[in-house]
Amino acid sequence: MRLWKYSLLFVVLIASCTRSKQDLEHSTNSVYYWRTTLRLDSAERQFLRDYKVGRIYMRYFDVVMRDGTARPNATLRFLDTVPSSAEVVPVVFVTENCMRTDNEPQTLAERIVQRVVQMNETNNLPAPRELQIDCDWTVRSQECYFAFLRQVRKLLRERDMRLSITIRLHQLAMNVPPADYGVLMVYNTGDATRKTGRNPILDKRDVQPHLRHLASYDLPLCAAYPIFGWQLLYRGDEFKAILHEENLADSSLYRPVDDHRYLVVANRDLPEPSDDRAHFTWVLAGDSVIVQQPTEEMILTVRQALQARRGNINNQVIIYSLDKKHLRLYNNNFYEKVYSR
Amino acid sequence: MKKFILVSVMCVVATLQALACGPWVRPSYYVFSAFPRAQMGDMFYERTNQFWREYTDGAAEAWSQQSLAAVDLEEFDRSENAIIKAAITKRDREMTDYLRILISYLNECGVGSEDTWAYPTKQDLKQRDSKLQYIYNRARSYRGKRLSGQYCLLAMRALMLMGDSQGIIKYWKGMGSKQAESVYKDMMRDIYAGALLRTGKKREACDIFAELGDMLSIKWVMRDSRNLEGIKTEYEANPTSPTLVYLVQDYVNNAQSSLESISGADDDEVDEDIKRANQRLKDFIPFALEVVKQGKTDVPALWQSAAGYLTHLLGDSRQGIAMLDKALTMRGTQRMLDNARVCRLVASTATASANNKYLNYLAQELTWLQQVEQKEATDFKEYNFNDNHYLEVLQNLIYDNLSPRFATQGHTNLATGLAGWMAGHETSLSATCDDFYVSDDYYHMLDLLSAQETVDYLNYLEGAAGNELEKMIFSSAIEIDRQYRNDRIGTKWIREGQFEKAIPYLEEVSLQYIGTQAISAYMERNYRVERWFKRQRVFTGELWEWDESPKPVNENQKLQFCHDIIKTTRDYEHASGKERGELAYQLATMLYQASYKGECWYLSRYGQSINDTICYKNEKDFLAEAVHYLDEALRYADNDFDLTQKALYAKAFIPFGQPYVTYTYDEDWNAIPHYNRNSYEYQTLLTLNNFYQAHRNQVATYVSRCDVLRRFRENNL
Repeated sequence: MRLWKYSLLFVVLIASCTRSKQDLEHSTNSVYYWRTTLRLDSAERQFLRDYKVGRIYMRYFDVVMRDGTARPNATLRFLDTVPSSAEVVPVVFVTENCMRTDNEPQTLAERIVQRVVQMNETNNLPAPRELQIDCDWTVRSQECYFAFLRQVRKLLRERDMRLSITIRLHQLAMNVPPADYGVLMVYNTGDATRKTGRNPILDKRDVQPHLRHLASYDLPLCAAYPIFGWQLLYRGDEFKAILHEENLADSSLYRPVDDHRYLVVANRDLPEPSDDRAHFTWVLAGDSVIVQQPTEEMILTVRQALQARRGNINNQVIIYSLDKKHLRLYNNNFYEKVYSR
Repeated sequence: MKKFILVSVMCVVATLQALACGPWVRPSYYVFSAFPRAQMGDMFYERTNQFWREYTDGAAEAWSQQSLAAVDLEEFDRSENAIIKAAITKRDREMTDYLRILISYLNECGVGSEDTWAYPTKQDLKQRDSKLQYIYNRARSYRGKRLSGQYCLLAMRALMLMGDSQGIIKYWKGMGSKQAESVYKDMMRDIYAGALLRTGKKREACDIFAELGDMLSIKWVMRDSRNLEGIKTEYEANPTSPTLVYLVQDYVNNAQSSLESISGADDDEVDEDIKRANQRLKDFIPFALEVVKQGKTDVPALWQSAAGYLTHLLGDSRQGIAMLDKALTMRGTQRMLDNARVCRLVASTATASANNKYLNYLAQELTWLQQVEQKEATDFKEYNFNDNHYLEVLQNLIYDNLSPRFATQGHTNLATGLAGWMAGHETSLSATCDDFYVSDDYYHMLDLLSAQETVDYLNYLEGAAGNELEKMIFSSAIEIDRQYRNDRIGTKWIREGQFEKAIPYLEEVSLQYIGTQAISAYMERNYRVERWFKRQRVFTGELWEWDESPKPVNENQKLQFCHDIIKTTRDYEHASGKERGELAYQLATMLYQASYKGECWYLSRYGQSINDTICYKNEKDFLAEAVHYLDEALRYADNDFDLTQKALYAKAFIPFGQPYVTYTYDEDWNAIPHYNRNSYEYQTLLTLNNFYQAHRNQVATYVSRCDVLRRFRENNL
């Protein structure tokens, strides 16, 4: 009798472990595409080919609150084709405040699903098989967000589509949203607005406290790792802006202080890449620019740490993001390692 | 576009303005301006507006053009839009046809580009393409002459929406470029330049942007060439490239910004790399002079004036002026020559002294600056005077440069008069421009003058002019109301402690005038009430319910105060013993109340803030005076327990000198007290505490229940 009890307990334990470590059925090398126009250059296409990228998680549009209503914003403009070898997963970024108002989550869900389907149809893409929702939801917005996800999932199932969501590290400690699987965003782990000495994009010390929730998180997961850098402008200790691809080799404006720190030596107003060309950012003599980019070693160490806690999490790896200026920051050997299963 | 140099300064302006004696800090504007700043904005908008204004006999507003996009074509005949109404009223069939097709185009602009929930279907896009094709064909089929430019522009816009850069280039070459000169042709050329840019012809595109004055596009396209190397490269490629106008101006402006940001800083405070970068700015000068020498440029005045102004900025103003004088004789646009003249004027101030020769030159140049300022306001109506380059030059020149310089040299009247002339000029501009406000620099300067300086200044304005600048000042300085001047001078004499001198001025101020001042709302307070015993609340409501609007008064309290304090002082001087002590205590009460810390601060100033200090010229330290009289009260108290107790308590109340305790914080934000046993506050509290300890059963409750004293005791000091 006792033996039977122990056997039953063992089966239950195995079942629960298996559940939390579910693999993605069709795991494949993946990338995020996070720009406002779809235009792939030769280096980007080559990357997709070289690393047999089978899935592109493509930001289609944001949903933001404007005039008290949730509206689409910064819609992707399709100016190019996508290689037929890659499946496009539409991603919609929903700002958290859209989930804090009286917006009807059902209506919003219908609008988003309808718009995503229409975008594929209009732009000659195959009907989507999946939709991903990206939202930095909080305890305050949880109820509305979960209701919204349930509705999205219902609508997707009617179309034989699945729902994935992004999971930020701190959200591992929160309730599990209703979705088919989650993508753990292993980036933006720190606070770029504070000079902490840590890399705000990825630092294992910022990841470590969240790992204890990883194994038991009751949703199939895969991981997304960063391959991008930031040029952060500080005035004293005060964060001022993220610069847009500044040429830090311009010695009339910048002097290198060390490998990743530059001193601004003159004043200049830098135009910003916005629709309103009159926007600019001031850099002033004495400011500092800190280039933050996670090292290959850091990414691989964190990757390993995640895998140690949840063996299958790297079955599918997504790189954030596909952009030629990011791709060249790392060497080929690194990509092979990060995509390895 | 208005460009501020010391952008960070803007952050502190609001704080400084809150101080009664705080200076108004104006941003330092760019001086070097070789093209109108309107070119950093939408330079076609005003021109097309002008067209519609003329067409509608002035009925079209700026938004009439914008709102065409929202017109429903089915409602066209009933539209309230001024442009459409004018065309219909005039029975102008040619124009109504054009407007209809223009509106069709504007309607199509939004399809597929707007972030709406209804994402366009394939059918929508197909319809849009066929509509654009229709618009393109209609535009091409126009055979008239009158609206030929508009139709050609429409055709190019349709091609642009269809994403056909090659089509745009072809159409411009075949049709657009052959059109008569007009704003529409310029707009076509701008679209053509955009198509060149998209097809990889960056330099050609930029030159067109520059010729059209679309400097904003150049700023973005040339963002990696905004340094000397970039300028050299552009010059090597084409010495007459119009893009160089932008790059040269940008270089000089950035240099001004960088150099001014470290001016006034101690040498050892500035990073060596920043110093070196600023030194390297001078590398531009020989290059610019070489450009002039080579003779390949068609605007040598631009290069010469850039070199001259940079030379001035780098510290050699005499050489800079000589170079700028030379620039004035060289070839360049009128704007460039005007710019050289402005730079020369600004550079001249570095060595300015108030001799008649220089002041006559100033008078001539200031008059000229007013003329070009007016011309710019006429040429670019949408900017008016709120974004006028020459007006900003004048403001910086007078308020931030010449006035302080002359004041430092001891020419207080000239310095103040010059600011008064500028305030007068601004006042005349404000009469013609709704949203233009007169700077408060002049009034601030007047406020800072001592009483005697104010009297001297007013006499100066009525004297004989010794040069052309003084003629200008005397004839145009802003009129100062007699009541205003008497009230100001009387108040200044009060705060300088010269109560007898204040009386004749204050006697000339009517109660009606006092009742118009904001401070009249506080004048129900009594300056003889001991502040340490009673708080006289004027406003009983919450902060946001305060009503600081002027209130009628029944007496001139300043005048009454003067008479009262003179009499009390006289009585005190003639009294002895306890009576003398009592009168000293009264004087302390009155002086404290009239001080910047007192509740009757309005007797000596026109505003109060917690950051106030003794900040006016010759201002008497009423707090120190009050302390002195309290010491006198104690000295003559003659064992009077009540007077001694009151005086000791008052002394401990008065915030004078350093506090007895300050705090620092450890890394866990725990407060660490630091006691200053030599401070006035410590000593007065100690004395009061000793008095309390000695007379524990006799002291009044205001002593025995004093929380400050109790804390002092608790700290075992």
